[in-house]
Amino acid sequence: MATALAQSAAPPTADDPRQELEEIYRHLCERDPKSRVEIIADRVVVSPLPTWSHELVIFRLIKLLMAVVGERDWSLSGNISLFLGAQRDRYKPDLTVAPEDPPMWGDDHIHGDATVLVVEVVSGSSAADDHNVKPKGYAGAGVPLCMVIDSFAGTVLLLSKPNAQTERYELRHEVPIGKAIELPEPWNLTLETGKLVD
Amino acid sequence: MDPLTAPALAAVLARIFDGAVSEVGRQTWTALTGLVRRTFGDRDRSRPMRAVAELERHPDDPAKITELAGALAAAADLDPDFAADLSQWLADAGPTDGDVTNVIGGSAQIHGTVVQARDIHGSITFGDPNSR
Repeated sequence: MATALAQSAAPPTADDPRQELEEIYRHLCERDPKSRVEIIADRVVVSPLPTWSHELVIFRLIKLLMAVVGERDWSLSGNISLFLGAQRDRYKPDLTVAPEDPPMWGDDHIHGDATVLVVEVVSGSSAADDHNVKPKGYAGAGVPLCMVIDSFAGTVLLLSKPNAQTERYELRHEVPIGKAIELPEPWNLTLETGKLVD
Repeated sequence: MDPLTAPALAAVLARIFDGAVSEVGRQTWTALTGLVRRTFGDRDRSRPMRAVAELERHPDDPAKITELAGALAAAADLDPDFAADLSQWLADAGPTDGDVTNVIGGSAQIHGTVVQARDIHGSITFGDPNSR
C-alpha cells in the first residue's frame, strides 16, 4: 500500500497547510531521492518499490517508443518529477518523455506542459489515483499526452487535448491490451499494445 | 519596505523567473501563490489566480509578469488585508538586487529634483551647500 503521511511527519514551520505539505514533500525527496514521493490530491504519498511485472511493462513500452525518441532527440526518465503549478500536485510518472532541454522548476522538476508523453502503469495500490486523480492534475497543467496502462483491467487509455479550465482531456481513447493504438502528433506512432504483456 | 506598486512587484517576480528558478525563488513563488490561493480560492477564475497560472505556464514571457504584477496591485487596492499580506511578502522577498525604479505617473507633479539611489553613504545635498 502507498503510505499517506500525516502532516506531523515534519515540524510545521508555516501556518499555510499547503506550505507545510511542500516542506514535508521536499524533506522526503531530499532524504531519499530515489523513492517515489508525490503530492496527490493534497496528500504526500510515498509509493512502495515496484514489482518486476510493473517494471517489465515500462521496459517493453520504452522499446516500442525508442525509435521515435531517438529520431526526435527526446529524452526519457522514470524518475523525474513534474511541475504542475506551485499550488498543484506533484507527480512522478512511471515514464516521462520530454525534449532534452525542457523548462525546469529548480533542477529536479520538468514543467508538465513541456513533456511529450507521460505514462502511468497501474499497480495494485495506485489504481484510483492513476485512473481518476492524476489525469485531472495533468490536464489542469496542460500536459499534452497521458497514457494509463492497466494490466489488471487489460486496458490502455490514451488522453490528449488537455483543457486547463475543465481539468479534463477532450480526447479519450481506450483499447483492450492487444489492439493497436495511435499516438498523435508529434509522435505519429502506431503502438502495438499486445507487446506490453507476454 | 518597497511600496506596493506594480513595478515593485514586477521586479521581484522578474527576479524569481530570471533563468533557472533557484530554491529561494521557488519558496518565494510558493509563498505568493499560497497567499493568492488563500485569498481568491482554488480555481483560476479570479484575475490574480488566472495570472498566476499563466505565468507558471509561460515563465519566460515578460507580459505575463506585468499582468500578474498589475493584478496583484489592483487587488491590493481593493482589499486592505490582502495588501498587508502582500506587503509582508514583498518585504520577505528582500530588496530587488539594487534595481531602482522611479515611477512617476498619473497626476503627480514634480517640483524640484528627483533622486534615484540605492545605497547612500554620506549625505545628499541639493543646490549649492555653501549658499546655506
